[in-house]
Amino acid sequence: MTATTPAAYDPKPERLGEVQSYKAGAAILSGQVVAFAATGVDNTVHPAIETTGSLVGVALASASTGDMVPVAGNGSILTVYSAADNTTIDAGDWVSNSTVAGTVIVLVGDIATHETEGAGYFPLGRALADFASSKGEIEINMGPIWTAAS
Amino acid sequence: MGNTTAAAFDPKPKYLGEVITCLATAEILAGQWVSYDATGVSRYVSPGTTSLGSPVGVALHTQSTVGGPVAVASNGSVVLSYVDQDDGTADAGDYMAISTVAGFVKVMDGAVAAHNSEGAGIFPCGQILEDLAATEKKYVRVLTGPIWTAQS
Repeated sequence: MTATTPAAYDPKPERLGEVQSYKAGAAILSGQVVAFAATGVDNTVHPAIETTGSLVGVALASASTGDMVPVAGNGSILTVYSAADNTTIDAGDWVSNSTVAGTVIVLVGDIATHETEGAGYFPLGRALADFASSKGEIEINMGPIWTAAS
Repeated sequence: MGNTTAAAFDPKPKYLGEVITCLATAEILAGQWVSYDATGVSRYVSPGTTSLGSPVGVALHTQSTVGGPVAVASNGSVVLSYVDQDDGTADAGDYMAISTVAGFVKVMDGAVAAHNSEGAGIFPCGQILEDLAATEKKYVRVLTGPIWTAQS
């Protein structure tokens, strides 16, 4: 597979649910999935990877560090990038953050290890259609992760 | 106020999502999280604790009359909340859950440890947007959902 190289794009919302403004803790590209830092900083988000904290949604605009950025949250229907150009994400799959900043992969539903903030894949939403090439449409539906008891 | 002593306060919604009218099983103070009874009684809620049923959201006003209506800010709402003193602090981005102190929340333990359920459950109720110490009120995005349990 070829890893996606994040680039700004229009996520073309078909529907907007919750939309809130957050402060950019790093440069954010329009269309990237964003999350709190694992350490947690007030109202501040970063492009999501597997080592960030819980997800907030999808950036509706690009932003430089310190700028405010509007973020589409639960109930929104829009387009996101997959982590690989030729990945397979099918309609109905739940997707999560990935190791590639601001992109998604199919959510691994196993309750296997203590995945948590800083080492976790948080659910972002559900694919509404099969992903063609590197992008696809999802409905954002975020929630907490649950892990096996230690 | 001591954060484990319930007192009414204005939850100052930044954003209102779903707002549901429920009925009070017991006195409810403005700003308290409310939950269904563990046995489940139609539309009746009480200040949320781990011995109750699933949470609904945050009471937008005080209701002292049993059976009286109370407006509850539910999913999608961003409201002020207290954290249970036992939990100390919460970081922005932490998922929160109902605590043992009526109407308060604590950082959610994500472990699937036992068959926690209604009447004995730590239900998730939201995502905190700001760092929060035990003696403060900070904003939480209400986000209720089911709990998951270990396979029996």
